[in-house]
Amino acid sequence: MKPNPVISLLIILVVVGGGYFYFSRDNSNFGLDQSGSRFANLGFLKSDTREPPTGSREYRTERYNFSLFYPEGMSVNEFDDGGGARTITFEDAEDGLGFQVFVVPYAEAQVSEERFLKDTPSGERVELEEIMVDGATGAAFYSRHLLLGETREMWFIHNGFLFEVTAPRLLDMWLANIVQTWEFL
Amino acid sequence: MIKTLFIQKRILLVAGVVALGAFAFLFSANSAQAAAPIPTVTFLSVFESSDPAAGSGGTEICAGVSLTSPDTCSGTLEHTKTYRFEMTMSEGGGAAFKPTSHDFESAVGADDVLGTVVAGAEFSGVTCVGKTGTPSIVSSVTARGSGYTGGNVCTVAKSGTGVATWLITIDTDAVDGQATATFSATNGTNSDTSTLTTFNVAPPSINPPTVTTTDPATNITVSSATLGGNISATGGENANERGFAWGTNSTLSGGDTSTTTNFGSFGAVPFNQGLSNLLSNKKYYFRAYAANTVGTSTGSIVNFLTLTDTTPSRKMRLFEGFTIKLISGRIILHQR
Repeated sequence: MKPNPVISLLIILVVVGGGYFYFSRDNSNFGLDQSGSRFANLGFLKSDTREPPTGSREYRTERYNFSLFYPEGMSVNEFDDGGGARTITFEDAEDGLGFQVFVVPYAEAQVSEERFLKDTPSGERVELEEIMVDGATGAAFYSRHLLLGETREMWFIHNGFLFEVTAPRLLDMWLANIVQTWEFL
Repeated sequence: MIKTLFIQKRILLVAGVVALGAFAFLFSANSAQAAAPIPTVTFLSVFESSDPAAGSGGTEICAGVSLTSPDTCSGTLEHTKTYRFEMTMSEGGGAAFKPTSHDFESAVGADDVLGTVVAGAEFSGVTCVGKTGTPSIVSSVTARGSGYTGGNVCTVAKSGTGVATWLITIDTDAVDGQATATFSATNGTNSDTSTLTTFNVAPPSINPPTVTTTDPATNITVSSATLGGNISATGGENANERGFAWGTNSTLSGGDTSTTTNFGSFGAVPFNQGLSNLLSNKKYYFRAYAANTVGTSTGSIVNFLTLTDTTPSRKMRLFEGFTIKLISGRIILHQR
């Protein structure tokens, strides 16, 4: 039986078009599969010009001297916590995505146990590993929060500030991709 | 009778000749002594002292010994330490008087085993003290072994007695055991030698190091500080361990008392240690310590207060106003 060329062409168009839609959608939302596993390695490369990739925007703060790319469509809010500290939230309530960055002046070279317990009342810290964020040495671990439940934490110190990046644990890989775009100014 | 008288005259003649000869001999001998007086060198004592101008003082190593040459010294001269050998030099007729040589020999060596000073000693200075009493350093010389003929003239007052002082530092690798020291002096015509025998050469006695705690601690923050200490004296042997005991107990016993330790070879130098992960607004106590193979010493206990942490704590502002549910592996937010 000879295949119908019209049907074959339609099938090819559907496959190619569907693939384009699928991957272009993933690229614009930082791999928004909340399981994260499929898109674990799709982090953005840092750019000298800091031109955000398609589907993303740049958050930049001269006060704390850093910039990062986050998915377009997220709402960004800043809270002054006093004492030179500030919390920046990035949220997409519709898709259940979000993370926050807590920045606090910190003169120490390492995060003390007292500081950890001060910001993490649960005291839970599992699978601790060392990380490097644009040259700043820090630690990543899983913890627990009363309202958020299990969280993914990435803490690092740079230039007199302690940065605490937090997201629900389910967004672990998604958060990792965003933190990869972090750059100190 | 006549024959007897003749014999008696001959006896008297011979006696007269003998008497004249003896008189001439004695007269000529006394004349020669007056023309070339003989100096004398006699050991006074040996002191442990590093001050060439001191002239006196220091711990006497050879106290109570006979001071006639050769003398016996019951004391021990230790490696690396400096000793002051004192001896008198009689004026010997008023001529210029200068030390001419010195020699050290160990008991085991027929040759100059302490030798080149051999094993040890070295002139680091020669001091003369005139009878009027004020010490003065004639010159600074370095001479080794026998045969030193340098011109360090120590002039003694015509009718008095001078004290010559040699400072001798025993080398680190000096041959241990009994040794002798010999010093000579001359007035240009005659000379004399004095020998100090059977003093002992041995490694220095070793004590635990002397340690002080540096007060206050430095670089104090809310959770860190730098502790300081100092090994002010090694005790004769470098410390092989040093560190700090620290904690919140004022006697540094029990509780959360910890110890930081560094191993190595440490001389008399300051040292410090950074502490981190301390509690804020908390009084900590610490003391320095150091140890060598003989023992351990500690400094006094001092304290410091960490700064108060006034920085705000984190508030979880993410998804504020929402309730969070996990449904089928996804985060579902509901407005409260």
